[in-house]
Amino acid sequence: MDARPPHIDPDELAVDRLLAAVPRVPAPLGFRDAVMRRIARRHAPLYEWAFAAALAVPSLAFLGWELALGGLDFAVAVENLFVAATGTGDQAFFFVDGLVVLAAALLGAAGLVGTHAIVTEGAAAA
Amino acid sequence: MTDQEIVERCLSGDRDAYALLVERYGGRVYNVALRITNDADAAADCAQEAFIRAYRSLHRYDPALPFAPWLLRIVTNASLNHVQRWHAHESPVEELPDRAAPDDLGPEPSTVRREEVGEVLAAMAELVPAYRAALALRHLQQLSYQEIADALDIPLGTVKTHLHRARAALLKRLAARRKEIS
Repeated sequence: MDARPPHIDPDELAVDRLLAAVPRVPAPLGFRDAVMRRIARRHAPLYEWAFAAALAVPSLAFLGWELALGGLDFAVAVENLFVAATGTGDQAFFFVDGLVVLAAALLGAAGLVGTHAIVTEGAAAA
Repeated sequence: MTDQEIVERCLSGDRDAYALLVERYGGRVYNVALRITNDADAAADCAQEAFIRAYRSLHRYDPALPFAPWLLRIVTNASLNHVQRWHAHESPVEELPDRAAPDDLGPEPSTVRREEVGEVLAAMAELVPAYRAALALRHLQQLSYQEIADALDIPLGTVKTHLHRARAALLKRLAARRKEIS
């Protein structure tokens, strides 16, 4: 590996001798580990994306279905919430389905996992 | 274990085997990047990027051919692309390492030699990136003309022209620098 080119032309000799004196600089410390970490990282988001999708898709479908079925009730509930929040009324009535809360929570978890996948992918690409 | 055997293991799913190739060629790849970019940080980035690109392209590597020129081609492209994007960012690199590479262990270079090497590298850094790449591949990595042509993706005749001009320019700059100093 360190042998000089076998057929150095005469006009190459001067420069070849000059550059032969140039010392090799070692790769930075931890270079190999850094490369291997970046290679390994690229596989993580695949699982994370799949997990995020498994959480998000059913939740979104359920929320969409709920909205389609009881959109008017939902609008009233939101309006009541705003009324209560602004303090113009002394009471507010709204009904929240437990499954809707669960779907929203799962959607939030999917968002977190997806965000982590994006960050990991970005760090690996950097 | 040969390079080709390692590549085969990587392709069969043994990702950790790739560490052997990184360890085996890390120094060469880094040095090519360093001579082209003339920037230690950029060289480390380009060298890492080259290994990652190579890993993702292993299925395209022809095991009938030696691995090193194929890898050096990738790092040369990555480094030249970097220089094209960030040429204004180029800054002189600390040319002489604080610690020697394992294959450089031996008698301590004399002060005169260190100065000479510094001058050579400074003169080399003034060349255009394509010339630096050709010189590094030919004289520091001992590639053949054909391998350099493949690495730079230019015709064989152009490689010879590049090298001829690069050598002439290097010697001219070196003479000018020495004249300035004296």
